[in-house]
This record gives sequence, structure tokens and C-alpha cells, in this order.
Amino acid sequence: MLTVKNVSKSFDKGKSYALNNISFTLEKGKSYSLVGESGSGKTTLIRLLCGLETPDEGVISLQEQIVTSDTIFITPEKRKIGLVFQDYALFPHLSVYENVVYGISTTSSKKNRVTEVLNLVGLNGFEKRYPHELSGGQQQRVALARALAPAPEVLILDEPFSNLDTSLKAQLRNEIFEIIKETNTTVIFVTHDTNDALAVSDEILVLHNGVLVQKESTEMIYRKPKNKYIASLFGKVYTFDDVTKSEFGINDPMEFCVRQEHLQLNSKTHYLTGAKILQRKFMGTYYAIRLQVGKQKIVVAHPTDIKENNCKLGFDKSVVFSFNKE
Amino acid sequence: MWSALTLTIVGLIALPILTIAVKLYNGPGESWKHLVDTVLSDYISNSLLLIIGTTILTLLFGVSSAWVVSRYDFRFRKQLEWLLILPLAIPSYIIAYAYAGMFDYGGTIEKVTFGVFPKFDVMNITGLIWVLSISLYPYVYVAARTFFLNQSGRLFEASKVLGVGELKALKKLIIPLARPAIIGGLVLVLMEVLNDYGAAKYYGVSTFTTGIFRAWFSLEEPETAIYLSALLVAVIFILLGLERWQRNKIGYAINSKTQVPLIRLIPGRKNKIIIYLIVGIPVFFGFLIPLIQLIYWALLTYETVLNDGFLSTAIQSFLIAVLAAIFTVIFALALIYFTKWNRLRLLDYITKIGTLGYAIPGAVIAIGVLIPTLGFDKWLISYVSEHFQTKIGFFINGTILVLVYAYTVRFMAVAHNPIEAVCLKVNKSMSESSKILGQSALKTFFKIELPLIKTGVFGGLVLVFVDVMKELPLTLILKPYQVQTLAVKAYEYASDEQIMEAALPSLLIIATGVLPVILLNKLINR
Repeated sequence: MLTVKNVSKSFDKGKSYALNNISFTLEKGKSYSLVGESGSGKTTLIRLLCGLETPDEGVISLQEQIVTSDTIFITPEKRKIGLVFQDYALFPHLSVYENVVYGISTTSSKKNRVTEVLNLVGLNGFEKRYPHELSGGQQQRVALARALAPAPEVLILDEPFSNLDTSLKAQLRNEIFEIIKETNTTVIFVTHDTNDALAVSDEILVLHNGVLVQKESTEMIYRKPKNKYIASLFGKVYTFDDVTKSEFGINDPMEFCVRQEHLQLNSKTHYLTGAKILQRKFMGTYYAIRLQVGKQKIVVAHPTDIKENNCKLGFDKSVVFSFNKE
Repeated sequence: MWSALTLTIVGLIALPILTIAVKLYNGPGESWKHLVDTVLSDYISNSLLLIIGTTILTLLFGVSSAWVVSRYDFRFRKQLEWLLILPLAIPSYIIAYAYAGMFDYGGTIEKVTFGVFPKFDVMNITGLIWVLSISLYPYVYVAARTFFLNQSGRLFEASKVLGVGELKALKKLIIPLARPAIIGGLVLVLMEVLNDYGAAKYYGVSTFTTGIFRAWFSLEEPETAIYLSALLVAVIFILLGLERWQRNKIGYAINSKTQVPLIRLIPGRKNKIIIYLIVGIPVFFGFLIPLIQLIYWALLTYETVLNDGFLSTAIQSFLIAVLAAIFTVIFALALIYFTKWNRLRLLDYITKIGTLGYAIPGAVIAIGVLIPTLGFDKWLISYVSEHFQTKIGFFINGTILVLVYAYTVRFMAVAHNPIEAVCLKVNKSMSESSKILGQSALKTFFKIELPLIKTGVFGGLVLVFVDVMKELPLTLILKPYQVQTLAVKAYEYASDEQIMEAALPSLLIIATGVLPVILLNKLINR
């Protein structure tokens, strides 16, 4: 339902590209996360989707209708794309009701629609309050209600949890995505926190230096990342070329990596190597054991303490990623 | 569409300046050579002397008083802080009248001292330097004080922990860092000095501005007036260029987020006397003395001055100022938002021309406005007479339309700058959010942006209103015969040797000027 085809954007007349030849398609009702580091092009991409910027080239279509191309440009107010800003962008001089009703264009059922969406976000009774009279979480819900009120085809959430406390974040994140699921709206959730992305989306799009490097289901992107960069976005990975060369042979263009959480100590696994214990740290539910393996230092979570100075580090064949060396 | 509208507004604002530039090609008038041989050197030397003299005095008064109120805590500091800004509320020509009257034969000084202190001639270039400095130093004071209060706290702390004393820190650190801000204030002073007509004319000092009037009215040679205007504009552009150059030369920025307020010291007894002298002299001579003199004269003359004619002048003045303020603010808003909405980035630079008017002296703008509007009026009269066989009078000239247009050109920057400053504070995501929610640019402006920038809009309205109330040279040239303003009335009284009668209209102008000065002070303290 949302198609992006060969879209590029440069802010310095082609010397460098904020987005370089991006193409993808999103399906109706699904949740997508857009992840990438700062400067990867996430913000530029969503501004292009909303019509707040124009691309240098490429076509964007919504519901089979072209909204951006060389010759067509549908202005933001005429696209049915909602956006929840990182800073919420609530209108400070308008009440909750006035904020939410602002984007509703139908004349007859405005009040009902406001009640409906405020119900959805659990803020009934807050209609007369002003943004400054609400907590951070409540402001977030108003921003969501306001974006949902005009019933957009696509809803974009731009790092909506970055201003919230860690304790509040997980709870609010799950609640908000439950609410959005009920509306059957396509969601693009922009985040640099891959745990959030894994928790709430059906598929993840990874942007790196303005290029879309992988678009896959959450499970596939975790289990079969296309390269070491993507693998490392979802947790620490270590390279074990020496350990695995007996199985795979010496193959210079390839490197073999394993996620930190898949490493085991003194267990029966496919691959084993000797390690020197450098440090042990009690972390509550586990011990963080710091090891020296060859030239690299590795930290492994282990359920119990290990008294010896040396141990065996191992992992199974099934958890090994092989990537082309970059 | 927005691009076309932006260009139209910029075109209208730039028209007077372009007119002067184009007319220069016609060559100077017959008396230009005579002027060059005789008085031009006076214009240049007097203007230079004025620039040098007012620079020294305004820096002395402005910087020293700003430092003292920022660094020390003493009795009546808060009251003195805003009293120091108040001379800004009195137009220079009114302070000039007050001083002239005070030191004249039989003037207040002679009476108060029972003749011990006789006539003292202030009506010369030294007197003019004093009058202009004592009325304009608040521009430097405000700029320096804003810097000292907001930017110097952390720097001072850093310097203290390095064991550096107060005076050395001031000399090596604070003053050099405050220099761009102080020079910014000084340039405003000098633009006002070069714009002045009333005080220089009254004191008999020939400057560029008085020369323009002379060429226009006495010699009846617009070409010569245009040549003088062009020279004056060139001087101002050199000043502005120097200011821009010194600002661009700086390769650093002070991190304002990490700044802390400057902690005020309690001065010792000896220092207290010096402090009271530093803040007392400018307040006393720049505000209290002229004000008391004017009140005294007003009490002597109110019975003759206060009549129906005076009331009508006050109402006309007020209405013209309101109208001009509204027009200027609408144009400023249009310029800011049309530029925002158009997609041509080049226009961002072109719109800067729209705010140039404040740098151009009123007399020059008046001439630049008069020439094209007269041309338009003449064309309109002949067009109507040819096509409709009807005779009409001047449409723009001879009505207040010409005044409102000229005020808009002159004071565009006065409205534009505070509004733009507030606009920049409104988060971009506000308007983007409104657009994504389906609202047009215009609806977004009226429903979201305007309510959020209303303080800036109000500030702009008040500032333009006050500037129009005070304005003299432009009004003198352009005002239709039947229209009268308080500033012109005061000038006419003073020119007719009825200096005491000038007090009441002057006091009314001051009263309207005090309000925004207080507003300005509140904004700085925020």
C-alpha cells in the first residue's frame, strides 16, 4: 500500500546522499520499524514520506496513487499520513480536545471521533486540559490520539519514546502498539533502539549511510542479518575465524561471528576454545565473566561463578553467522 | 504564488532606494558644484565630528553604566536599571530644545543660579554631540547589559578560579568578548546620529541631513538632494559593512546554554559613590533634567497650547501611528511567512532588502518615496482624465497614504526583527504537524502560528507605533498640508522661537515612548 521506488535525496547538490536509491513496499495493517544510527537517513526518509521534503529522484505511492514523483507532488495536508513527532509538537495554546479535533475534516461526527480516540488512548475526561498540565506519558497519548483522529492510512512514530524514563517506556510502548493494532493502521516506527523495534514490529527496515541494507521480519533480521553491521545493531557479536576455520576452512573474504548471548562456558558445544578468565562480576541473576580469547576480550553471561583461572568457551554451529568481509 | 507576493513586497520596500540609485544617473543639479566648493566639506567634517564625538560619549556612558548595574548590587539598582533606558523615549530634537532653553538668556539655569551661572552657548557642534550622546547612549547600554547579564557569568567564574583579578578579567576577557554586542549597539547610535535632522537644524550645525533639506526646499534641486542622499547612504553602508566585518571575523561562539547569571558584588563605601556617579549622570542629564524642564514649560504654556487644534493634532498623530504600525506589521508578517512558504531559497536573501529601510535616513526615504509616487499620481491623473473624462487629485501624495507607505519602508526592520525572533522560537514541528493533519498554510498560520507569536507581533506594533510618533525628517517632507503630527508641531514651535510651547507636544511624545521602553526592559530581564 505504500511503495517507495528509487528514492534519493542529497542536501549538498549530490556531493553526498542522505538517502541513496531506496526502494521498498509496505503492506496494510502491518507494523514496521525503521532502525539505524544517527545520520543514517531515517528522518529524511519519513520527511519525504510525509511530503515535508521533496526527493531529488524517485517515486512514492500511497494506495496505488503517486504522491511524489518528478511531476507530481501531493502536499502534506492532502496525504493521508499521520506523524507523531519526537517532541510531540502539541499545540500549547489549544486544549486536549482542540488538539485532537484539529485534523478532523468531517463536520458531523467530530465530537464522537474525539471521544472515540481519547477512549482508545485512555484519556477520557482530559478534554479541557492543556498540554502543560499533562505528564510526559499523557502528552504522548494526546499526540497519538491527534495523529489517529483523521484516520490516516499510514502512521509514523518518530522516536516517540526517546524523551521518556526507561521504566515508563516499555509499558507505554506496548500499550501504544496495542492501541494502534486495534485501528488496523500501517505503522512506521522510527527508532534507534533495536529492542523496541524487535518488541513491537512485524518487519524491520535497516538504514545505513542512506542505504536500505535489509528489510525482513524481526525474526529473520535477528537470525539472518545480512552483514556484521546489522547483526551488531541487535546486540554484541564476536568474530571467531580461528575457532571455526577447521569446519569452514580458511576463507579470507568471509568472517564468522557469534552473538554474545549464544556463547557458553564449559559446555558441550560444536566448537570449543580455551579462554583465560580476566574478571568476574556479580550482576544479580548472572555473573559477567570477562575472558581473553586470542587477541580479543569477550564478556559472557554465566549463571554461576567460575573459580578456575581458565575455562572453555564454546558455541553451536547453528548460531554462527558467516559474512563477507567488509 | 508566495514567491511572487514576496517579490512584490520586497519590490515596494526597495523602490525608494532603487529610485535614488536610478536617479543618480541623471547627474547632479546646477548647484552641486557650488555645494562641493562651499558647504560639502562642512557636511563631511561635521558628520565625522558627530560620529567621533558620539562614539566616545555613548561608549563611555553606555558600557560603564551597563557594567555597574550588572556587576554590583546597590540601593535603587533595579529602578536605575530601567531609568537608564528611558532617555531612549525622548527624541533627540526634544532634548536639544530643552538644553537650548535651559542655557539661553533668562533660561532656567540663569534663574536657578540667580545669574551666577550666565548664558552658556550649547547651540554648536559640541552641544549637539552632548545632546545626541545623552539621548542615544541607551542603545549601547542595552546591548552591553544584555551581554554582561547573559553571557559573562561562567567566563568570569572561570577567570576567578584561575586567580585573575576583577579589572584584568574585565579588560582581557569581558570587554573583548562583549565588543561585537557593544559595536552592534553603537552602529544603531550612529545611524540615528546620521538620521537626525531636528537637533542639528535647531543647533545650526550643517550635516548631510540638513543639507538634503536645504537642497530640496531652499535650492529646489531634487537632483542635488539625491546626490547628498546617495553620499549619506554610502557612509551608512560603510558603517554597516564594518560592523558586519567585525562580527564575521569572530571565529568562536559562546555557549549560552552553560552560562550562569553573573553574581553581583556589594560595593564598598568609596566605590558606591563612583557607582552612583556612573549611573546617575546619564539618568540625570539624559532624562530627568530635560523632563523637568519640559514639565516646567508645559505648566507655563498649557493654557495657550491646549486647545482644539492640539487635540486634533494628537488624535491625527495617534491614528497615523496606529495605521502605520498595523501596515508595517502586516507587511513584516507577510514577508516572513511568504518566504517560509515559497520554495525558492534565493528569496531568503532577497527578503533581507526588505529590512534595509531602518539603515536609510528618513529624509532619504522621503525623497525616494516622493519621486515614484508623484510619478504614479501624475500618470493616474492623466489616465483617468483620458479614459473617463474626469479630473481627480493626487491619489497617494496629498493623502496619508504616502506617509504610511514611507513609514512602512523606514520601520519594516523594527517590526520584522522582534516578530522573526519569536517565529524562530516556535518549533518547526508545530506547523509541520498542522500540515500533516490536513490544514493549509494559511489556516496553520491563523490557528497555530499567530497565537504562538502574538507577543512578538504586539512588540512589533508598539515599537513601530512609538517610532512613528517620534519621527520628524520624513514626516516634514511628506506630510500633506492639512495633516499635522505632534513631532512636527513641536518642531514648528521650536523653529518659531516658541520653545516653551513645544513642551506639551513633546511631553505627549515622551509619554507614548516610555511604555515600550519599560516593555523592552522586561523582555531583557526575562
